[in-house]
Amino acid sequence: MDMSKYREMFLSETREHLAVMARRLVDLEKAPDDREVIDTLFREAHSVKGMAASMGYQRMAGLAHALEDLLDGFRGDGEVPATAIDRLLAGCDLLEGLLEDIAAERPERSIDAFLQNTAGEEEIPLAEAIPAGEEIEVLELEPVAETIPLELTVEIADHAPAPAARALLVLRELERFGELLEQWPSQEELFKGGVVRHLRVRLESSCERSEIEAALLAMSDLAGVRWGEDSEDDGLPRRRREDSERTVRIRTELLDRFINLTGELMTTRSMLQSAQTRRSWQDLGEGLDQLSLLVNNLHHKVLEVRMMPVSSITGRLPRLVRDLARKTGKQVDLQIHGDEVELDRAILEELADPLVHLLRNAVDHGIEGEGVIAVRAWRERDLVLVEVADNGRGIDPRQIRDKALAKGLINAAQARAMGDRDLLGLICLPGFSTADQVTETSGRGVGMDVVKAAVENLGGVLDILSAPGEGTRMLLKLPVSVAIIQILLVACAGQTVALPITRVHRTLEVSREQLQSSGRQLVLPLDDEIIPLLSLRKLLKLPNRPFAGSVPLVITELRGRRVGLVVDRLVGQSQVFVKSLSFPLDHLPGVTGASVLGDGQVVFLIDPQGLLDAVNPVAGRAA
Amino acid sequence: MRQVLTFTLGEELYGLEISAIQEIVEAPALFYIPGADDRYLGAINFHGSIVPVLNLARLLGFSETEPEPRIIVTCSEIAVLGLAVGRLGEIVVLDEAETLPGDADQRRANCIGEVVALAGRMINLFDMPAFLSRLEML
Amino acid sequence: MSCRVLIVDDALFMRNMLKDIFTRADDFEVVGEAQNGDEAVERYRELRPDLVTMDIVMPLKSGIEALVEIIAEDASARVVMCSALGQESLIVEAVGAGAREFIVKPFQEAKVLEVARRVTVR
Repeated sequence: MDMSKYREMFLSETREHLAVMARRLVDLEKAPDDREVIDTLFREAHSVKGMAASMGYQRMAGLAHALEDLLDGFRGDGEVPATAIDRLLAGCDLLEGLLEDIAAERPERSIDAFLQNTAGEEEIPLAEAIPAGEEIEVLELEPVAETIPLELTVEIADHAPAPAARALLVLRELERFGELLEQWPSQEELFKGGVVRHLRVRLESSCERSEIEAALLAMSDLAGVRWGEDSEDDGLPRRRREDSERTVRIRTELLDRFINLTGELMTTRSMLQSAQTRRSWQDLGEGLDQLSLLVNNLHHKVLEVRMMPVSSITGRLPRLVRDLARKTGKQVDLQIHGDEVELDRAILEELADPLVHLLRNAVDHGIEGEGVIAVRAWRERDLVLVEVADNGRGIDPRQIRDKALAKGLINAAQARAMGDRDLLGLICLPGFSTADQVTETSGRGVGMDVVKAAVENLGGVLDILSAPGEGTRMLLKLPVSVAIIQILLVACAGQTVALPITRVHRTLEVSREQLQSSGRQLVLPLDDEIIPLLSLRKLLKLPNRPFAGSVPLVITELRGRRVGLVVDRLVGQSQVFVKSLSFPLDHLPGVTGASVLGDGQVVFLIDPQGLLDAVNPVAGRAA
Repeated sequence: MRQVLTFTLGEELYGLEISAIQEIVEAPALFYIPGADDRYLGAINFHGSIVPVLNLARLLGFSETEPEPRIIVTCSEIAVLGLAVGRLGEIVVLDEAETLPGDADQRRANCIGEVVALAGRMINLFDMPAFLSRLEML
Repeated sequence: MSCRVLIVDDALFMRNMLKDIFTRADDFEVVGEAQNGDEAVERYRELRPDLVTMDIVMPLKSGIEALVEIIAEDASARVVMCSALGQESLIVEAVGAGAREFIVKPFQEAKVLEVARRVTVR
């Protein structure tokens, strides 16, 4: 029987089982006598064994079997000792490694070392852990490597076209020098295309590094070659990326509804056709109403297919926090709420790494000794909110201000004008944090610029709420789906442009008299803040005009600071499908996408920050 | 058979291979592209996709002329572009044309591939790849 | 001895442009041209060139199909794919099928020659 067609399904299901195992093991560590957890783990290991065996993956089956046996031993006698939990965690890691091998279509890695350890330390005789039959394959010895494998990371240039193809060519080049032992991303992953920036390879070769390096550097579109093991510090998110699956499982019920919808669409089509032949305006009108209903319905169903629960990216977090806590010697309790909330898979994929960054920061810099980190997800109208909150020491805005001043990121006048909220936003500036300050409270900005950029690229917003001694909340406001978004249409000098609604804090109209001058800058006192005003006409290089009567404003955020964008007119809101721009439009600064409105009109989506940087690069930095 | 669509830019006569042309669109509605300079006339809704329209005379440094309302939409694999030109002419067959000598580098700088003579007229053959490279630099 | 090149592209101006580039360089000689995949395979058989530049999207038979046929006949064939931006998945497919390199339009003369030289060295 041809098993290959079941492979994808096997991979995605096994991944799910392993995610559950990783999670439950962390639970087990907290409550080592929880029978229910032990039972679940036993069942999961059992499932993995069964699936792997039927696919013919002997080592994975053997290892799952060993773990199953180990767990079975504790089903009777209550508490699982800490050493056994470590063993189980290591076993889980090894299962994941095996799964990576299978996904990359390489031979499964050896599990001998693990099994021998299990036998020795856990006093479970090997013969019992592995029944006859599976034994032969499992215990086969790996040949001893004669050369030490080289480890290297090849960086692909940012602008490189078809980076995945480039990576494949790099692999082919490397094959000339020896045998590829391991690589990330896998060939299979590369054949799917997409963006690849790094290629990590373990290579068994008797050639000199310099020789290999010279050959690589002669290739086009490579930015560099690094030798040695990559810093494993942030290894987790990368591994997760490799895990990410491209197949979608659809409930048959949903498919049935697609078929029904298609039927209804066909009926409506004939209805419209007959209305046209009979020139009946009324029937035509009714047909169109029905059509728009069906299209709406279809749209929702299609979006549903793309939706995945937040749990698909939070599954690994307990393990991450456990490892981080152990490394830092802190006691951290991770709570996850609302991970059943669903988001577009494209958004979830981009969110996985930022979430890890946030948790890392919370453990490293937030929690003092002992504390709680809560990850919450919930839905509010068109948005999904994801929050990472800790009850740690919090961030002191004054300290942030002093540091930003010292680093020259803001000047004294700006510092005086900034409220606490603005100050907290400064930690997201690139260059705010440096390695030597990582351990200070104010050094919380490790990778925060990356987090903020990732959130904003998705059309979302990052809010930071914190006070000294009161913990920190990092709040991510995200659109439910990437492609279909709510926009605000505004007009300037007779031209219409759009802003994603997620970037708009609010809109308002003020009278000219409410505006004040601060130097050459017009400002507006709003709430208890003074916010600077920027003319959208000026950003768009359209002819200026003096303010008169009421001034329509869009309150948005530029580099963590609230500003008011002065427009001629607020046109309205609309839900649109955003198209990404192709060459040469993608070269225009501050223009992020475009959309065709219902009446055929084309509007472009703008990013005010990008426009500002293009108009005035220096002011853009300081704003 | 080599066919080109002729058009004017300033005083010059240009020719564009018809294989590079997808469609000629009659006076489409031009929509505003934020922040784009006057080398862009705007964007059009071309069968649902968004295509930028370039003012070719402006881009190639010809003196100001009011471009013709009809837009040439190219079918390059690299980018689908709308080109606004001075005035559209006829389609001519180049089989009888004679290639004129000249400085290739200088021509390339003006996005001219080669210059041919046909029935007493000189036609600059538009060099699409050179033009696209030039757009990359914008 | 100069390196013998077969240029495959359905667009005449693309062929001419590549021809110009190779002709200006001393170490290459354009020995043939083809404007679709079928012709490419035929001309390859007949000319056995040292290097083929192969457009991906062509009528009748695509560059990738032609590549597969050429590689099947001559596993050592050196084929460089020419493609437009935004055809990443086709490039990946071509590399998987044995293309030695790829270049992306619009072409830069220096880049084309650099790639062609590197591929033909071995």
